Amino acid sequence: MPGVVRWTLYDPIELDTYTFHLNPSEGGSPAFKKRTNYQNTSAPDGLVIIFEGQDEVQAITWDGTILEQAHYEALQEWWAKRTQLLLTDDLGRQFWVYLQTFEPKRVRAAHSPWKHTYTITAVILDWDV
Amino acid sequence: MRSETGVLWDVWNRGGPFIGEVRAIGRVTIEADYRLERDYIGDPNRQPVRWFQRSIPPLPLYDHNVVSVGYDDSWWGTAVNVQIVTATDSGPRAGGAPGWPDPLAYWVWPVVGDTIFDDVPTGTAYFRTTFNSAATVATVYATGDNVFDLYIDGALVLSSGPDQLYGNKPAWATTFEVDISLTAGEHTIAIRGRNIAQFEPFEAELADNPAALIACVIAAGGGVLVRTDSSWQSVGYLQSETELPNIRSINMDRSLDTDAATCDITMSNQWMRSNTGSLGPSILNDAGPDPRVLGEPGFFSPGHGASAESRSRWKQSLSTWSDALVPNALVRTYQGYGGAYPMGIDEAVAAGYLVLTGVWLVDEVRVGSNGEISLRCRDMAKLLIEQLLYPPLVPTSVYPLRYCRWEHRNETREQVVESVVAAPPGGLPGDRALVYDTSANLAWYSSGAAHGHHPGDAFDGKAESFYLSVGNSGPSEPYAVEWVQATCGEVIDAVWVSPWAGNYTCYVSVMVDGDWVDGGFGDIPYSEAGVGRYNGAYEARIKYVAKAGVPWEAPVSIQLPSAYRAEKVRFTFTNLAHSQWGPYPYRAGARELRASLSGGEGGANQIKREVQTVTETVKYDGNYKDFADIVRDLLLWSGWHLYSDGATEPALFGNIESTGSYAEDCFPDDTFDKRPVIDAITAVKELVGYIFWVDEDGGARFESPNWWSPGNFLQDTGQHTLTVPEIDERLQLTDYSVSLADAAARSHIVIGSNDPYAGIPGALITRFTPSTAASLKGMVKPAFWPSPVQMTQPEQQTMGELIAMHIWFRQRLGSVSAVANPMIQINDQVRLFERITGDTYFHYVRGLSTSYDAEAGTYTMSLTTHWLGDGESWAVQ
Repeated sequence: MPGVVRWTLYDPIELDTYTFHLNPSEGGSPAFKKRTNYQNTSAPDGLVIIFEGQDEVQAITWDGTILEQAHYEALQEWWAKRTQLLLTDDLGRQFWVYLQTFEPKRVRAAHSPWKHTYTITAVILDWDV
Repeated sequence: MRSETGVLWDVWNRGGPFIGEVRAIGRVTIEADYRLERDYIGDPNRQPVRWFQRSIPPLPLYDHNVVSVGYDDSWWGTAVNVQIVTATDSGPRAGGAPGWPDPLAYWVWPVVGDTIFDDVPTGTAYFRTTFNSAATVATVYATGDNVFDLYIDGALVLSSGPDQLYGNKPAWATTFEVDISLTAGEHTIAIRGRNIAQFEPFEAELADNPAALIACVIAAGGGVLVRTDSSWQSVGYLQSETELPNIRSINMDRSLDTDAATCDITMSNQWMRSNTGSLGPSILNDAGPDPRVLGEPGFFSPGHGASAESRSRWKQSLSTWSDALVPNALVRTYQGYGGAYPMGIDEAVAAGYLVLTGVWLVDEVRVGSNGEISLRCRDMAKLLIEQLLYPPLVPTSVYPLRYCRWEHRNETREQVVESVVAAPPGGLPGDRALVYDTSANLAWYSSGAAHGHHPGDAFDGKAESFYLSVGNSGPSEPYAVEWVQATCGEVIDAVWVSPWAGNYTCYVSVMVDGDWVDGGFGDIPYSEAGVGRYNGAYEARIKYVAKAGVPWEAPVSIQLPSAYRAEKVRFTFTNLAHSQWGPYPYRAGARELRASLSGGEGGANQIKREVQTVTETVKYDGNYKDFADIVRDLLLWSGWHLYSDGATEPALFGNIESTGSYAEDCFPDDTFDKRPVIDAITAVKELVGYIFWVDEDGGARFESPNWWSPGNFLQDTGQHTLTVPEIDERLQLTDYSVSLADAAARSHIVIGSNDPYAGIPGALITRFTPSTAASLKGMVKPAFWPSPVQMTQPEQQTMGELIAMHIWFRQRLGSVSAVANPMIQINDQVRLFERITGDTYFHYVRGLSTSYDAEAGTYTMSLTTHWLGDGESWAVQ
């Protein structure tokens, strides 16, 4: 489809690129979370002490659809890589990620026996600006 | 207390929240190459040792990159051509090692002051340069005096291994070589060289000695690609201090009840190589370990990549961290609020965000398969626990170690012997005997001695010994009045004063028939003015019969208005002299004080003088004058020498407070010999009721406890301040409990040289009933404290009072949990405000534990405290 910018995953070791057959349908932006802990001072009317720790590790999650066996196997193969990968989304944002989970869920479809929905979660190691 | 102002105080005093730019931060540096250095200055019998060398700021963050390709060495100097390899002297560098291939290479070393290179300190030096090459096979040659590691493009390719210290073939007599493959282009060669001493196991091990390094790379075709010379960049004797990344937690525990503080540091054992190159080589062009593994697990493990199997199985490789986390590496912890990376530690300390919270020696490194490394450390007191009082720690010239205040020598000399001959009626001129009776010093010190000078020294016939008074803050303060008194029993009409220092005003008082004779001038002027003690038995305001000025170090005779049959004579001094001793330096002193009769008065005796050769035991100063001198010696030998170029006397790193006391007899030999240093310090500490600890900077502290009056002492200057940190239930206090217990209570305290019921003749015993005895309701629970040295009964009494005070403090302990404040130290006072316990009082900090968790951001402390009271009711009277 003209005008569609596909998501890609790039493996800097194998110098290999995977272009998503279908872009994810949902998600795809990382959450930003600080980590805070609370302690009460001993006085009933005392301050609450808030300690701030290291920011929580950022993760990115997206959901999508698989239509064909090749799509399924490609995602499974890329999930199995134990190195960081460069994710580029349709907005041109790039993240160095480590794929944590790949959770396909089969969906019945008369003309697409390999049809699945899936969720992928990845830890963001670094932003590539 | 570390200070009384600054960013940390501002942040802490406002209470929570501790977030954003001032969130809790803990950072850690490590010196794997730390070693004790012996210095040869001052008395040859007193070779002090130092454990630190902090003249150069720490290296930038992650200095293990010093051998990597991208390291910025522009701030280094250039190497010095120490000697070309063809030189023919007889030293270890003569002619190079056998098989050396390049006669044009130079032995090099960095500049070390104006040092001659045959006599340079032990330590580490770095060398770097670049060279260009076509794609070729080449051979790297190198050797060093003493050891080296050589890196090409960041990879270790050649190493001497440990020098053979006592073997037949040291490293510098061997040509090391390895073949490598070079790609076409520019390459970086970096060498880490280390000069170690190698000859004698003890005395000379830490001495300066020759140092140099030589290397070259020769292509397969025979062309020299690079050789060491003065074009190389070089730097040496850096404090090899590196920041430890991946810190997860820092927990430390300090207490006056333990010999050493402890610290547990946990870090993640993983190295993440960034894709952007901002923290290290990019993964895209990194030639390092297996790129198919996320990060480099176990990167900081000791020996990581050392075995061939680990290199082939997991593609591990040696790094400078492979031998960094090892026992006895020196670790510094910095903690506070704010001051996170990328701000440098020095910068964060200067800005007031961080403060040095401890200097530690690693006891144990524990590496787990869970991806964590934990370091268990003790503070520098470990040096006192692990080292024994045995050569070479104790110089052989003074071994076995024995401490005596006095040295008694038998001497034969000619002496004027005086004998008293009954005088005929009417009397004859001559000296009259004065015998030391008492002095104002006793109001302060039970021994009467000040800095080893006893009042009786003014009547011993020796000009070299002298009486010294206690100190005063000014020469003419209303309380700056000092006196010494003698018994006489004879008729006198003049006195003779030979002063130590001088320019005093001297008042002479004479007692006849039990009363001080009124010379018509009124009392000697004196006012206690809040600090003086001369009343009652030590009353200074008495009548006098004569007053005269005493010049500087020149004797003067003072004629009395009449002749008196003097029972006692008192010399009172005002307008005191500035002395070298103590924070209150104004004192009086007298070498000799005599009385005489110039003639005419009946009843006096004639003194007959004869010259005889006599053998007598003469008492000289021994090898210490104050208990603090002993502690100072022990610390200087153990590593606390505060080194300074050009110093002629060793200074000590820390603070040793003088005690003003000593033991008349020698310490028993087993007090020191072959015992841990800390045991000897503890023996001295208990004698005087002092405390000893190593502070956060690593300085040794031997001081009296800070419980005598409200306030604290600033660590850097020693100045007293009335600033007392407040821990408020509404701001920082998270939990508080107070406990009353009788565990330490005693019914009575017995101080003595022996068991009082053992029936040993001559045993000197003092019994003391502490105030805590009442809490025992009649139970018999004595404490027996055998004195290691002979003490007088007043000294035993003082010791009993000090022990009773420690016991009293033990019966009421506070336990405080609060937001951590690294400016608070043990021996500080804090003030608590907590409504349930009704506590608004000052407390003495006896123990302090802190806990820092980087992930959670929590930084808390627990204090163990003694109750001190408040301004209206202070615990120590």
